[in-house]
Amino acid sequence: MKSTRRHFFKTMATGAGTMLLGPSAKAMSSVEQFNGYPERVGMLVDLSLCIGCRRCEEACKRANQLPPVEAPLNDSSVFEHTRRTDAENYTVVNRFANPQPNQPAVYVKKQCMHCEEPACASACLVGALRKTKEGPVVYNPDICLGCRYCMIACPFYIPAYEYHNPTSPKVRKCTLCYERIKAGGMPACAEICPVEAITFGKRSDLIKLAQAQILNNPGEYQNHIYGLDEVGGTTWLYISKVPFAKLGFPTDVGTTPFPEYTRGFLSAVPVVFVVWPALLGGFHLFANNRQPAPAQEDGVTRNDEETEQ
Amino acid sequence: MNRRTCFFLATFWVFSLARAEGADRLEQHSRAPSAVAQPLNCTECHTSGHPTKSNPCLAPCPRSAPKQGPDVVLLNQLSSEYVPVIFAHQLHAQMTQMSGGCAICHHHNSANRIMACRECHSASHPESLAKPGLKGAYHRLCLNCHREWSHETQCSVCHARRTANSTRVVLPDPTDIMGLLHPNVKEPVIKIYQTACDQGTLVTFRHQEHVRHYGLKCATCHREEDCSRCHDTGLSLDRTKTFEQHHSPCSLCHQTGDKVTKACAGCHSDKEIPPFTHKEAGLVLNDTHQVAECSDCHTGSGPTKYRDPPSCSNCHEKQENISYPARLPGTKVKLP
Amino acid sequence: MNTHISQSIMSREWIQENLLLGKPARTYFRGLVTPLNVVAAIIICVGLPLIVSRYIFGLAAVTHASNNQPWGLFLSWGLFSGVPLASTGFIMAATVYLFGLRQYHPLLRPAVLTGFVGYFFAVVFLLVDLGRPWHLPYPMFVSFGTGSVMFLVAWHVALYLSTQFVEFCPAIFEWLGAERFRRWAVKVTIGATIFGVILSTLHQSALGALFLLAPAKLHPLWYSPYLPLLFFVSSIFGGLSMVIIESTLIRRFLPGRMDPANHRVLDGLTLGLGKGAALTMLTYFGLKLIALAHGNHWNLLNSGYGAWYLIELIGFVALPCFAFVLGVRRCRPEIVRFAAFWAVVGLVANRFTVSMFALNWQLPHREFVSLKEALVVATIFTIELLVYRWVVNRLPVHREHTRYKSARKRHLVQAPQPA
Repeated sequence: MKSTRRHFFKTMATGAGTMLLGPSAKAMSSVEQFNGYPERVGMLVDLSLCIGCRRCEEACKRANQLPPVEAPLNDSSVFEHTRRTDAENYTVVNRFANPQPNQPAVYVKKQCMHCEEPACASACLVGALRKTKEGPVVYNPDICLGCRYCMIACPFYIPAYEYHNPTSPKVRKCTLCYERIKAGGMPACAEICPVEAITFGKRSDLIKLAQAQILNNPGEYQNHIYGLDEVGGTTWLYISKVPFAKLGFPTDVGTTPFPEYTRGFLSAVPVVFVVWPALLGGFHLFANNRQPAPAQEDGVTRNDEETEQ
Repeated sequence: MNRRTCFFLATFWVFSLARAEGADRLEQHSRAPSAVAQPLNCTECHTSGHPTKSNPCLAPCPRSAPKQGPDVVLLNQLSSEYVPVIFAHQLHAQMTQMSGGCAICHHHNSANRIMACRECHSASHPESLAKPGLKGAYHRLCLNCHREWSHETQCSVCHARRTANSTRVVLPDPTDIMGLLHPNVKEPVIKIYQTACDQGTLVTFRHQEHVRHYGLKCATCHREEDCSRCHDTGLSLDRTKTFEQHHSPCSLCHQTGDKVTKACAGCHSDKEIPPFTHKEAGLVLNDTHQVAECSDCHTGSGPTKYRDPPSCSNCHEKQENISYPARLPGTKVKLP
Repeated sequence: MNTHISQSIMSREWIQENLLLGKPARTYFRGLVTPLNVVAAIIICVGLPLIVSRYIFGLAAVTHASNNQPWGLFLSWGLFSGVPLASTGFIMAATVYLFGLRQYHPLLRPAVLTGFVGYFFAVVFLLVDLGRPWHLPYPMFVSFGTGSVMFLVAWHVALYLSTQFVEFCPAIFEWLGAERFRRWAVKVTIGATIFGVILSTLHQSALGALFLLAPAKLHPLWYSPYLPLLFFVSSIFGGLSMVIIESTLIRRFLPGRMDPANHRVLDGLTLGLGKGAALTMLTYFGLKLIALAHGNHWNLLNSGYGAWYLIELIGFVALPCFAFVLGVRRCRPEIVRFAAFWAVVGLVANRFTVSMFALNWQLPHREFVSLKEALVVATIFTIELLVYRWVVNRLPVHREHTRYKSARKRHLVQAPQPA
């Protein structure tokens, strides 16, 4: 599905006329199964390791030329409220009380999940958001309209908008340090993490690592890799000893890739374009070929306005 | 996981905890291949070529007591950027005796020698989750505990940035390590516990006496302690204990009774119990007995050796028709 | 032809006749000072600086929209309520031209005008709400996000706006006296109508389909795979109701702009429209029940949102539907008119619910109402009404242009009269 759609983007750029018909049947076809580029990267977070030092926030801001962190890193008062990502914070660490007694609090790093089939990219009407073959979902501000439908579509409440920027407002979110990855590096957060709670690698490898970690510590971890199947899979994977529902993870997002939800509707578009003219034209002919009503004051019923002169 | 040990142990969930030597070590086999860079040679841990589950024939630890370890370790992997980190090894080693032991840090250590962290944990990035890189390995060990009681995760807490003036590391006096990094632990002389027991609310515990006279080690009673017992870890631990757990430090040597027999009066009283005298226990220590060492009569090992009174025949030849204390034994003792 | 138009437009008489309602300039401008106009002017004087500030200081200057709730009043009112209420054009065009119900011809032009103005101001709202409004043509010319429902909405709203302009062109050319252009415009009517119906079918439903991408955010009582269908069907009775409301208001406030013949047939046409609205509302009610059963979230009915769902379903769908039926059965156009107002309020309530109240329902702290947003909306809506009045006052909308009067009158069919 993905490759065909990507291919479709390229070919579609030639003829705007076909745009009327909406996505073609080819783009909508799922016969050609594509399970993602095998070399795409992933990030695995072991939540039981995170110590909440927020050094990843700091590194992220440095890597993305964002203003420095507001609260000092050792100021634990930031954890009193659950924070979300915003235009100046691509990643935030939140603290959640451990539901098990006498266990330390759990810190959860939050950022763009870089879905395998991103809702935001399928929401974007100009293709400003795009899933790269390396894995990151990247954003092109130069073509963005600022409709913010991506923010509606994102099930994780990640994309943020520069509401205070009048001239060049942008959708802001984690880029998975796309440039660094392409240059052979790793995202800044994974690099800085002092306890190596974030592991960067090939997504396929990380899944095995996560499974092994759960298997080798029987009874300790939740038997679930968050992001393996959620919304069709995400680049970021999480393992935890505490149920994900208690850690602010949305657990009602399902495993269906979000583009699937609008696929049925979009496939109906060409049908309407083909069937409606015939149907409506037929109605028109039928309605205007009937016998004129016998007793009409103003005379005969006329076919069309153009004949009136 | 046992909540008392949660602190230390939570750090090391990656590895087997090796609290009980045999079973846990065996578990390591399944993890060892991915966790350790060099393939393990069986003889590094096992003295016999045919270890079994019941008798693993483990090679002894190269150190029998923490005292044998270094007082201070300098971690200088990043010495180009930072002043080496001063790690008070002895202090930590002593504390670990009250909980997870050396294996908290020295996990997967082959028995014959102490391995350096970097022998397994490479300074570059980790190759697996189960085996973090050197940075992760150090920080997990340190920060998992330290962030909780100091609430401090700033790099500068441990890493002083290297400047022109800080090229020379001033080693702390190892004998004063407590004063430098840790306030002196004040050993109590006597503790009188207020209890809810209906057969006497006061329990007198002569702490100093137990340590000095009976040679109890800290870890004899302070087993499975967690850091939050003394340090502010920000956790409000549930400290309710069962009857058995509550009495377990004493019941190592003393008859503490149980809920059925209610033999409480030995310890629980309405007033402070006077210190122990040998006379009260039975034998008046006079004559040569005054100069005898405790261990001359109380043979055996561990605190339990005081529980059962020694018999005279330990020292004195047994003779017919002589009964203590009506007559003193006539035969000279055979002192070892 | 062009020279003919420009000459006639430049002439003083033409201006007086066609722009100043046939009055001398001084009389005309004095006549503008009416209480309603003063109120409108005050609203605009407050709102316009706000709109200007949005382009100087960014969206945050006027909107409460946040990262969690990125869509606010501008879209809930301007797009999600404005577009279905502007479906009048395609509904009446289809009624008259495609289904051959020519007795509704007197209501066609007002309906097309309502539609055109409605869509135009939906775009105006977009220009205020979009982060970079100057990128508005990008989906058409620069970059194509073909997998997006919003892409479809953008294209179709743009095309349909043009289509409605074409459909309304005869009135404009009559006004300008451009005879040849008028004939061309009339010739494409059927094509434009069919094209318009296709576009409307798709983008009315696409507005609902937008929310298909928010299954975890939209409250389960409203989230349904039937959303596109529900949006489409409700836009039909919304459009029918708007035609009723519009004609009612014009007859009440601008009776001079409506032909006496139209005055006579209006009650009968209103009853006919009411019948159509009753049928579509019944269909809509049935679809809502199917969607509810399909979602199988009956337990959620027993909650605050459930109560609102029931109020919406009963109070704003079933009851106005019943009122329509009552009005039609008793041949009481005033009941139908009341029902039309009711149905429109219900439709707006539904769109606000889906695009605002029931969206992100799980988030703890949400704010919906912002004074500045409301002021901007009031300003743009006031301008919308003024524009509409301006056009109705001048162009042959509810009346025949004198030059075409005889020709048009011939195919006016007597509408059913109230008993």
